[in-house]
Amino acid sequence: MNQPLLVTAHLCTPLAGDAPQLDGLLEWALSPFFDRAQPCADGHYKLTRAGPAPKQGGIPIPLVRVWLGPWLVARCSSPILGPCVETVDHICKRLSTENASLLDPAERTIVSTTNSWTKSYRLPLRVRRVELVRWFCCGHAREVRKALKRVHAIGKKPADGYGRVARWTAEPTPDDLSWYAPHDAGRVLMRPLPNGPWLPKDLIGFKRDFGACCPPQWHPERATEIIVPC
Amino acid sequence: MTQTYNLLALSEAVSPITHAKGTSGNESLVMRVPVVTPRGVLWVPSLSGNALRHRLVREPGNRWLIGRLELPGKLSRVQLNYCFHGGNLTEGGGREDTRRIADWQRLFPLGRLLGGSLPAQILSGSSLCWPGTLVCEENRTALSAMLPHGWELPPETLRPAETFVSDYQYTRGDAAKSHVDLMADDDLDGESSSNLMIFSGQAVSRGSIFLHGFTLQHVSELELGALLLSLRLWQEAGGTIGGQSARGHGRLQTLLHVDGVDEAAQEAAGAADGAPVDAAAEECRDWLAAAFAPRSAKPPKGKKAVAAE
Repeated sequence: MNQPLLVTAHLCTPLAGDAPQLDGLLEWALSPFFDRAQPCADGHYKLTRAGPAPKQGGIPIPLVRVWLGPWLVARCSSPILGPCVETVDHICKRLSTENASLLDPAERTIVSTTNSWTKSYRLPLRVRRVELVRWFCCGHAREVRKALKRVHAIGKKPADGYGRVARWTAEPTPDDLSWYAPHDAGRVLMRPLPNGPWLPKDLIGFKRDFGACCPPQWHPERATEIIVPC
Repeated sequence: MTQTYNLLALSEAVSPITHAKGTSGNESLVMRVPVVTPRGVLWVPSLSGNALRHRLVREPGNRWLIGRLELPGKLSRVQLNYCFHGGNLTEGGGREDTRRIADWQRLFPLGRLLGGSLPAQILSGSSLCWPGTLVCEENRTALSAMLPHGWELPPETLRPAETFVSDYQYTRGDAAKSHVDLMADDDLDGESSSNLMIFSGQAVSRGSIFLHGFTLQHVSELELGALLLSLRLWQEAGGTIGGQSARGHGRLQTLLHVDGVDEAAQEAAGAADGAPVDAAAEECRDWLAAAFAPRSAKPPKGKKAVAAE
């Protein structure tokens, strides 16, 4: 049964980068079960920017989705982060010159460590210590929990231990706050939505933008006129 | 058949840990992460997942593999970079060789775990390495979340993080003072500046315990075995993390728990059985040569083609 839900990711390591949109995360988690394209090493299917975008709604997810003009938008809010402490970590990389003895003698030349592919780097990575990431949504609680059990980490650099999810919870809530939250001055936008006549007249807390409102958000074919919370 | 494994590692520091991040004046500082506690935000010593992944898995595992494939002294720089640091994307993308990916997944279980980058395509990995979380009261919530189902922390208050932080100090000597008898007479002018240097920093004390681990997503026993072998090789080579290991710092004594896999099976999976590698050695070497072969030059077009004729 579809109902208003509050989905929570309980993190036990810091979050790097940003938290994902819940609809995109669910599509990613369920993608191994749909033979769409070439599978990756981790069992998920692979899309590239060069190829066409997948059909909207091709992967069924346990959230209510509604057509707004040409876009199928899931009833879920953007991620909401609890109180967090910001810091910066660094990701370093360099050529392993201490292993020069493993090189073929013809390859033992002087390498530049300041340019080209052998350039050493130490890049900053925005990291937030946050214990809870939450999404309001409208969907099937048990199926949402079941799908999210496959998601072990969120955000950037999960292979380095960032954004590890200790457990997921999905609890019913009395009100549906997935798209709009009530306010004295009107309704507050809770997630990116396509710009159009379907938006309520009393909408507040948004700005116009150009981007995506349904997954995969990074695909160029998903870009359109949208409004985003601000 | 593939499945998801969770490996929990309990590492006790058997020498001071100097996994540094930044300096304060002349003093090096240990890496810390912010933790929200009832007493406010506290900065607690930690081990980065990036360092653990490299020192515990990629470095020892690939060093063993290179030896087994009889490749020392035969690697190119790009192959070396791929083996020890994951490689770089240096050529234009847009085309991915699926046969090469499939062969890589079949031939290199360790590579499939860690992922990496060939010159023209990225290879995705399947392991998530958890950062090292210090066992202290500030980390109680995070530690409870990391423990397997049914395991619990003792109810007694753990020691606060700051009690695990200590200092070290060393002196770099000046040979011009300690070994004067070995110097040439011309250099005995007595006016050269001294090389004597005192250096110091913070360390996490011996006896501290870090909880860390790995999540291996959709992998077979081969990948689990590759990880266990790498961990065993790392332990046998001293089991160090962080800097100053040449001075005896950074040694960890690690205990492993793999959810759903008993100790005997762990032992068997992590045994350094080189037979499968030897059987596929030629194919592995061919794959490495082909994947990192220089790109052939494009045939000339237009006026250049006419001139070439």
